[in-house]
Amino acid sequence: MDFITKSEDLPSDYGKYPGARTAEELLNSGLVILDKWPGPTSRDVTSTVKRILNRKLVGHSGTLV
Amino acid sequence: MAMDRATKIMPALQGLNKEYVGVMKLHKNVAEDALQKAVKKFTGKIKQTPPVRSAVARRERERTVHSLEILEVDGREVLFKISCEAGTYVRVVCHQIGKEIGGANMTELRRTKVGRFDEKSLVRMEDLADAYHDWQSNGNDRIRDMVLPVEAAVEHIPKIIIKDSAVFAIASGSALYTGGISKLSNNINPEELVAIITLKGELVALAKSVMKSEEMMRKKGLAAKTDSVIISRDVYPKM
Repeated sequence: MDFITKSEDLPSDYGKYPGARTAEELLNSGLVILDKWPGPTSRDVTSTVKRILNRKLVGHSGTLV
Repeated sequence: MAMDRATKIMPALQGLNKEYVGVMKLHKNVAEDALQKAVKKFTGKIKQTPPVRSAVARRERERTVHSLEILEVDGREVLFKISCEAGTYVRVVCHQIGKEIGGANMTELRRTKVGRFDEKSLVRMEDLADAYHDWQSNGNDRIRDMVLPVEAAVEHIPKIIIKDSAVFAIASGSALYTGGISKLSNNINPEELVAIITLKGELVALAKSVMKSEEMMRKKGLAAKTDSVIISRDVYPKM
């Protein structure tokens, strides 16, 4: 994917580079690629992750079989 | 799994190619070359009807199987690897292969890749729990290595990088106008899912393009309609 420039701009002091996020910031808007074993459903695993990481919302992208 | 603010990126993940390793059980003994021949028929564009228990309409549809490879045969059990377009039912593929060679059904399946996410980024639940506990109890933040930034989910889709002065409006749900654009992918078409990104690389929102790249460069007006906002609106102020 190539980028084209419409206007030359420099970043302001607001915001943060994604690589500089703290653990809390990552957990607030991050992804975990979870090793799900057969047995529990994706929904079961979702609610376990939500509980152990103390999150308000956790979603999964589904398993297609 | 996507957490809190990241839960809204799911639409970006749905169209990704998938790779699976699975086991297919043959109903009859089949010579290896006959099996290979049957398998070959199901690479490239294939037609299949979603199974009875599925979330979509049971209408025949076309999907692309990028590769289908037999890894090992043990009697009637066949270990295979398949790389396919989103929405391909692997269970159905096994059944279709079976029809050519006296029957087969899928007995095991494991997803090994979604887009660029492969087994190297896999995290075990126990390790995740341990790392979270470590972080909570003594501030050791090794959990950072287990969580990917939400931006990892949009690596494959076209992007529009916007000026910092345009972030607040988009974060509040406004559409993107051409004046707010700094850089953009050169391959955007109208009505396409695009990621709106800050100059620092933070994902602001998923949007649907209204113009193509070339029009965004030279025209004025509505460039993309915001679908789901990811960034919190208090990160960038009104400028």
